[in-house]
Amino acid sequence: MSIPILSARSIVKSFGGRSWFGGAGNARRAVDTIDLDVNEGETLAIVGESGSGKSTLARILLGLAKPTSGEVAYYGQPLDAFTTPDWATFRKSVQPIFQDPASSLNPRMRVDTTLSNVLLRHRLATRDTLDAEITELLASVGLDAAQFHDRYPHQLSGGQQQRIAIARAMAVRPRLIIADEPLSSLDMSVQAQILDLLISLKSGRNLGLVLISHDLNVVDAISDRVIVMYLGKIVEAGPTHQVLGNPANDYTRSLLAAKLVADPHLARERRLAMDAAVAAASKSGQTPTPDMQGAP
Amino acid sequence: MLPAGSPLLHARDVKVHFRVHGRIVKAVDGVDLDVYPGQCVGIVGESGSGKSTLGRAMTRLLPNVEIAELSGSVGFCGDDVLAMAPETIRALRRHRGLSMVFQDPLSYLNPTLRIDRQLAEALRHLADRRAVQQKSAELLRQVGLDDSARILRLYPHELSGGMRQRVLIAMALAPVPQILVADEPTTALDATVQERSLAMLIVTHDLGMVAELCDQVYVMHGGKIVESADVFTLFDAPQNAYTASLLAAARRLHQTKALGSAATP
Repeated sequence: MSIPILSARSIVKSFGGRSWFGGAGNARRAVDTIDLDVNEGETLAIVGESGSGKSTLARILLGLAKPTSGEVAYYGQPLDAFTTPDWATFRKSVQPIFQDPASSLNPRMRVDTTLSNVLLRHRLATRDTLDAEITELLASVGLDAAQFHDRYPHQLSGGQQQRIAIARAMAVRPRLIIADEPLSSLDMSVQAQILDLLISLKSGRNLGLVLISHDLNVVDAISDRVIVMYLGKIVEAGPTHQVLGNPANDYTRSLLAAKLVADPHLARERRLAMDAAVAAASKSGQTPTPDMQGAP
Repeated sequence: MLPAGSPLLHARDVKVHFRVHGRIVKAVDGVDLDVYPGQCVGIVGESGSGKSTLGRAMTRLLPNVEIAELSGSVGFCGDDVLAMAPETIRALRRHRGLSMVFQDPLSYLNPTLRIDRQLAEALRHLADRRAVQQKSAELLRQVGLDDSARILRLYPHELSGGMRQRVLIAMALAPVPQILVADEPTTALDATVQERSLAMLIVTHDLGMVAELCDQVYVMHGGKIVESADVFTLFDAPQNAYTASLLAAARRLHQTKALGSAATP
């Protein structure tokens, strides 16, 4: 097995509760002792409901936030020991895609400026090859350069903005993309398109992908492995088909039970089954379905 | 009082046209809609379809931009919401049960107040502090936030997005509404649906949520209702090409490998 692109060991991030004397006080651990590896060409999904710490983890993996303790390593080299050129390499090969494309694009920059800044900064194009590069990049995310190169973000729809954000991430030919809820601010028909775009991009070039999502349907469609987070901890991890098809953990099961299906018949059946289970459980005096707020 | 069999909230030929940079934008263009007591109605459409504007017109909480035309009528318990004086509409929201939950919870919570103060504001009708505290905790539990003692002491920025929306829903439930209008809610609603016979109008792009929660569905496109049907008919046999394309996209997203093929008929 080759060295993972990115690995995290015993990552802890706590917020708040700092006392005057530097004690940990009543700090809350948003990320609590997380270990994970992302290998080349692999798609790892991190799922959990809001507040489970998955976005904080994404920021730590991107080097945008420092963990309170623990270590993130890029090809075995800890981020803590990075020199400035190391960071430059890291920033080039690990790219983020954020949830809200409107706020991750500079509103005062045209599409071509946004992309050419990245290409020139990382010396991936010269003034002569710039136009051709931009055209190709836009084509790779399904946009026609002639039509879109001189648009500002506000002149684009949400789906088009997210395509630009993806093009910007792909511009530097990254090894790994960390996408934090890349679909959840988009319309459903657009979500389907962007999902297909991500699948086609990653299959073409041995690209690693860390997908942070609360949407199990998306996770199921795209990922190889899944990590389920709850209150900052990993409660279950494994291959996607195993975790989603045959979950071992109660919390994972409750997430799956809460998953929306676009089929009213199935939804009603499921709800009736759930009600029956609740009724049966309350008769026998036990707590019904695993409580989402309590410990898993 | 409402005559039996008539809708709790209804829209008749509602038009909301905005003037944007000198152009007229027909956000809502002649919409009829009914919500019966205890019913959950969905308005589905993509961004720009006018669904949010319609939802806001139904509660008379239209955005503060130049309105070129506002016509038609929105009836709630026999009164026309669109024709009401501001004081009457406030009383309606406060005492007669027309609540709304918005899409972006952070901009509707006061960033400088802890959650307990904000909930207390929604519970002004209660007599004393003890009652307010008890009711606050109960409301939070109702929206699935069991850790109420801690959450009440937090500021909005300390909550996650989902928790913020749950707090907003809790605030909307505080005046014991007859109907809740929710714009792009999270799934926190399903717990509240099951618990009371509250009528709901849900504005969403998520057909999964519609399938789960709604009885009746209106599909909106370009400011108009292109199709309306009960949820089963709509999903089983969409009559409109646009509805069919939305359903196809939803099924692509909900297509499941590991979860068994049952989800994709």
